[in-house]
Amino acid sequence: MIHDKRRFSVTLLALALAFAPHLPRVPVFVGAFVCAAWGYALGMQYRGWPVPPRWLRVILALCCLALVLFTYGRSFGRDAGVALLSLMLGLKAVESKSVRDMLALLFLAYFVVVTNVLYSQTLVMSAYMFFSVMAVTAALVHLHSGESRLFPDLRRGGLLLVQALPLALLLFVFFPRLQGALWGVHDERDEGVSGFSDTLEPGSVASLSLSREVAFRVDFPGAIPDRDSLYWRGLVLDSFDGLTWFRDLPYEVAGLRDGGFPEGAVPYTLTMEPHNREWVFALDLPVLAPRGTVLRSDQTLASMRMVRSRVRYELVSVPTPGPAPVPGPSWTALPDGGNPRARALAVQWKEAGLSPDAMVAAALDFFREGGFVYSLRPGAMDQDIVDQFLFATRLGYCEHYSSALAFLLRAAGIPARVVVGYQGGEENPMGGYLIVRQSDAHAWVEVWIDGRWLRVDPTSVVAPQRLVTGVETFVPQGRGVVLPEGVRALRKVGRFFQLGWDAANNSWNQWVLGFSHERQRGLWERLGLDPATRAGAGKLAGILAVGLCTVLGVVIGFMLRARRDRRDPVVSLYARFCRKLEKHGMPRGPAEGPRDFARRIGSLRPDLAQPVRDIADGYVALRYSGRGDLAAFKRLIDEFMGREN
Amino acid sequence: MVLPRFIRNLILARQRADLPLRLNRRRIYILPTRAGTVFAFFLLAMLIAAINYTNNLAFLLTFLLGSISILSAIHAYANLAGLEVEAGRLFPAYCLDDARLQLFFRAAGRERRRLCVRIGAAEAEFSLHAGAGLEMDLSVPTSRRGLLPLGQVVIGTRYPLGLFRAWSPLVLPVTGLVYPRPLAVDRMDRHQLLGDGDEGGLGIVSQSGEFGGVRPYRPEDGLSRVSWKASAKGAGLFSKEFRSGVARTLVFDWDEVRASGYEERISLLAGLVREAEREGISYGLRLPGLMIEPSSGAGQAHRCLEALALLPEGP
Repeated sequence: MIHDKRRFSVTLLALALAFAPHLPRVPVFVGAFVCAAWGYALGMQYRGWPVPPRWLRVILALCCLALVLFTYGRSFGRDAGVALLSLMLGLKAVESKSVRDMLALLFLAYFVVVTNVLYSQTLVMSAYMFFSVMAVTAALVHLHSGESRLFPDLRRGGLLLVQALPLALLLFVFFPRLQGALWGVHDERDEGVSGFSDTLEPGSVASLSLSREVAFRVDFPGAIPDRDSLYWRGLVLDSFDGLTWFRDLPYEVAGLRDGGFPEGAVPYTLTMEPHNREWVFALDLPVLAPRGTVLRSDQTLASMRMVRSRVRYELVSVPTPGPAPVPGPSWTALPDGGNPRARALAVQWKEAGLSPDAMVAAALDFFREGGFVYSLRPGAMDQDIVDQFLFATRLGYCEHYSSALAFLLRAAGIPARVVVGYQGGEENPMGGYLIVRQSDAHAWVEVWIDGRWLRVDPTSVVAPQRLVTGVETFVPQGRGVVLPEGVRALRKVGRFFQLGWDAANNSWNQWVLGFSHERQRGLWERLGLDPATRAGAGKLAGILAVGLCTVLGVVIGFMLRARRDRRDPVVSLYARFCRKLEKHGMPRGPAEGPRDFARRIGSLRPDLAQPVRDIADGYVALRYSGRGDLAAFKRLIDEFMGREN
Repeated sequence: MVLPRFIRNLILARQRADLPLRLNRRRIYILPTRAGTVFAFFLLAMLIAAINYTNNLAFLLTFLLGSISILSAIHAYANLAGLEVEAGRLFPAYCLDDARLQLFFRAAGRERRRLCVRIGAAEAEFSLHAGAGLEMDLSVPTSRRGLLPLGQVVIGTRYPLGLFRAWSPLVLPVTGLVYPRPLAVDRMDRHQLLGDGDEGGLGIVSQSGEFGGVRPYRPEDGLSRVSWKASAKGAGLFSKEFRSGVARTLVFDWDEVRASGYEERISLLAGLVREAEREGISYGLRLPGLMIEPSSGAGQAHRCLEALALLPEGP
């Protein structure tokens, strides 16, 4: 049994802090078991509850294993591992007897802290993880310090952490990063990722319109382009089955443009949140495929791997489409039957001899003047949805307009396709970058005119402000209610903090989480180092070595410096007095008491006898009798120090 | 692992130290503990996981924990370096009893946390404030009479994290004295040697000396002579003084003691000295080639026991 209850409680507290973020993630029975086990372990310490016999602990361990296997089945991954780890934490606490057991518990606590990265790497979580590392370190110190107070050990833990930070950062920057994994990584981060799918049907974009989740962030080195040209291309849908637009046709990898970028090319950096699909968003129209992606012939980018973690791309786009090959008949294909009125309208336009340009204009006029309303809740439609929308409900969201326009154009024999992606974005003035959220999801149409695919956005005709202010204008939130001034001001403040917070998160994502092989190479290049060459690698190793030695040297110097005892002013005052005498050739012997010393000084320098005796008396009174006047003693010392010789 | 003798001697020579001494880098060794080794493997596993998942936060945490553990070695070193061993004293003890070792430490410059000083199987822990001094008592087992060279003293620390242990093995110039194991003096001997014709030797002091008041304590009086009643007044220690009515002086003679062997003779003489000291009478000791004149008090007992302890090994 551990005699030191306090050390055990501190260990358990550190463990609990490390475990806390997992509590909502593990199944309820795991959380309950861990809490119960820890409670029992505390009861063993403070109430003398019996230690569970060995056979019971073995049975409990087996039960835990069985429960986890039963809950998670064969897919033993992240969640199952954490659940098992948690159960073991509970059991280990119950059987902890010695300092070594507590040490094992605290190592496990470190491990628990690290497993958090599998779930969350946000700024808050990272800060919390650093805090828990400090707590566990302080608990380790407490285990070894033999102190009864916790505060000095907390301070020592914090000191270790502060000293370790520069070292860790050096290693972080200089440790060579590999590209890709060492072995296959089975990832189960599928849940809870929102974003649209690779098909477009009524309601698929509207369902995202309320999500404030960030889809990606964009950093422009130059000015942010006009808002109405911010079309973020996701993927192109080429086929329609009467209800849904989807991708069917094969795409080749497009050849990249030769001879540099045309006038008006916009470079930017896009940091995408994981969405577990392969598409990569890019400003209309990307002309460069960054490493790890391909540019397809429909001018969309695709990642070669599923985007499972936050990725950063350096991209270049040009606002004007280039010439494209003549599309085949499949680009005007439509299902055989359905939507007769829409088809009739298209045929009517075609027979009127309208050019493709004029036909697009006619269609947009139709939307503009037909009493169409932009709505997030157009109601359900089942069959002949284009007809229903165009001639009956006239209520729709961007997917309805795009779908209908592409249908009309195809029916008239003009190649048309639907593009899904995002439109707009919110500028963060604090970070100077653009935040694009799920609510900015959008769909528009591309028409093949004069050898190029031209963008046509029917929504812009119906709801021009959609492009100016974003979708929020249309989100039904207490429409008609005029908010009082105070509430609006409060909202403004809230928004300010929200943006600042996003900027902080963005910096964290960019500089810490996004520090990749490529960016490390970039850093080397900026420093004029090429690790591929022997000289470059040597220099790099040299920089690292010098950096590490400097930090270690500073820490060693700091740790070995002599500190005056700040706790006792009497001692330090007396030490000053002794130093002065030593300088004048009268050092105090190692075993000489203050009074003997004073007597000796008195015989060596009779002129000093009186003040020295006073000082010795004052010192003895203050140090040993607990009585005495510190202020008077200080005066005596000051007087003595002020003396000539 | 048994090292060849000459290597052991070399190592011991390196560990020899004069007092007072200050622990410095030449005397301090530092190595990971078993827990530290386990932790290193644990860090390695974390690093591999971080590389495999290319997870930067995992990288950062791994490097942070790695740096913390490296720095804890420096902290452990700093906890020990500069510690001063000012003096050491080994008190005499009867053979087979534990001898008391007193070591004086001073924490120069910095505070010290949980240092552990170990000699043989005896271990003690202590912490010090900056500049503070402390005396530590340890027990050293004894097995034979004579001089007792203090073996290796190890001062070590695992503070702050227990991942590294810094330690300093010292062979200090401290030598103790082990008195011979005193044999219990049976009634017969007691009667013959102490009683000197009187019955009931236990009352000897009160019979032989008349209580004559108190006088200031002198160290050679021994604790049995302290007048606690008089001392309790707070004006210093006082000793009881006896006026010797009958001058009783005994001399224990090597040749006159009835003992079967050489060591037994020594032990018996030691027992007599102890008994006589307890009784507070004046006694002397005659050994082959040495005569200790009769006297009394703690100093006399020490003189006699020392002479007995340092007698050469028997035939």
